[in-house]
Amino acid sequence: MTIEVGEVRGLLGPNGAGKTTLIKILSTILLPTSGTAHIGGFDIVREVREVRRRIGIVLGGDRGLYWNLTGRQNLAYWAALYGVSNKKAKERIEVLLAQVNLLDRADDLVGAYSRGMKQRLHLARGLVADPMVLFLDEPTSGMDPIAAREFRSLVGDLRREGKTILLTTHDMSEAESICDRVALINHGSLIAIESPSTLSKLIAEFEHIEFEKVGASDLMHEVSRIPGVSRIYALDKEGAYCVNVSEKTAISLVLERLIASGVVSIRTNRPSLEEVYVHLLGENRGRASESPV
Amino acid sequence: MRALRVFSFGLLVGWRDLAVFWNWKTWTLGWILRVCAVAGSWILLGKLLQSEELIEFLLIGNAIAAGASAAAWAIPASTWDRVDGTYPLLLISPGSIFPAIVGRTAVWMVNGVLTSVVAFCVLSFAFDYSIEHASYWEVGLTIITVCTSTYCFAVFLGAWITLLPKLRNVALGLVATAITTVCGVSVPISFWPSPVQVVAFALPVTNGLEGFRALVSNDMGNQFAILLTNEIVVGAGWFLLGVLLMDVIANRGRRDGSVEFM
Repeated sequence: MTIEVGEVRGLLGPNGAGKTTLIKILSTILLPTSGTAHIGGFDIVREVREVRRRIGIVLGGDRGLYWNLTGRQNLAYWAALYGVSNKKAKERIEVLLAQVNLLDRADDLVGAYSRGMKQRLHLARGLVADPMVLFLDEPTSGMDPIAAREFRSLVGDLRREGKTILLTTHDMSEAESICDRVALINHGSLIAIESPSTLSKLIAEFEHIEFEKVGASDLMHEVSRIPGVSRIYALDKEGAYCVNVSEKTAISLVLERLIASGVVSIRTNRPSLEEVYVHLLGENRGRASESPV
Repeated sequence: MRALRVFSFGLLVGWRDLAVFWNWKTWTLGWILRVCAVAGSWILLGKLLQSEELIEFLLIGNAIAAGASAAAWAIPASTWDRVDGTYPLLLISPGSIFPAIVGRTAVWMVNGVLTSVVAFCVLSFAFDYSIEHASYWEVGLTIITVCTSTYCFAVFLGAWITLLPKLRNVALGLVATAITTVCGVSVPISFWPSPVQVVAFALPVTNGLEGFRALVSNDMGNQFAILLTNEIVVGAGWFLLGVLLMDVIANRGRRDGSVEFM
């Protein structure tokens, strides 16, 4: 797997797929048991110092910050650890605090920050030494939707600055919205590298519609005849059904037909990551054996 | 220069850790009162036996050991970067993690020195004791040396205890018990069999305390200088081992994944 300079690469996979382990190996926290990896041309095992000078890492969750220091002090500490001079650090910290929208809370103790604020401070911490490569490990996990959207917008800013970013997530829509390309991994193996548009197509292909049927006994027959509907089945004995589609255009046709028939309880669901995986694994079976990450 | 900056920030983190436990009111009315109460109960044995020698022995031993026990808090403090989740991040910063860890834990050495000084003053006043054959600077020098060497020992144990961080408070308790039991605090070193005495002199506190006792009771300045030097050597040895061990354990943690547990 090669990531181009300035690219935002998503690493998508279910829990336990090996996303975080890969990030920790690339960031030199862990040593690999086998295989090789290079960052900016430097080997992550043999040229650790050179690699460390060029990377920043943001781990998801609350940990990794000093809660009894202020946001500004945290950044100053990490700047010292990365050998950023005092003068440069002061300027850089102001810029970063403004960028992550924490200037007005910069002198508050981190323990008093919300989850979203801590995560933004994490991002600023990861950027304090102006790294060439940034690793983001599930940076929006546990965030409320608004904080997650703000965070994604920050990643968008970094992409425009030309940073190379490797981001892990198990949220397909997150990968779709901020990544240039997405690598799908499972059980430590690379399954596919797709563009967000392909991912979007996959998501659409496996979108399904759930509804509760009322009256019109021939409704099921009519829906099943709509082009692009691949399957229709009962979810329970109370009249709840699910429609699977294989083409995005079929969704609106099915919805129109259901509404016209007086169905008011309708829900469209995006496919789970597992469903996309099952599909991709099926496609890959015919190809050569899986490439190790 | 970078190491000094990192150390100073580590010190700031350590100071804030300390502030979580104590403010000046709880430090004086809680911590110091407790330390003096424990030491005082030992010294009362001397009072009961009406032995001025025993009072002096127990007062000096317990006042100095109180500071050493306080400095040993650096053992659990060594694991707090793991608890905070900052340890793996410190590890992958381009510099050494050592100034950061030492900075964060050194606060407990300072706390030890202050504890011993205050305890010494309070107990001397409470038991109407005045020191002979030694000046106040010699008292201060002994306290600083003993607390520093205990801190160095704590750095070594702190490196070990990062492998079993859940046992950090148990380790602190064991060290405090070992100091008060075998290092000549309340029980003379000569009481113990030779192998225990050898171990005791390899531990912090013993040399410094014995040296100070030699000075106070017999005015033996040379003996004091030799034993205080021994105390420094013992501390430096443990510190060096601690530094090496920290590095070994960090590398091992990168291989087996234990770098990020907790």
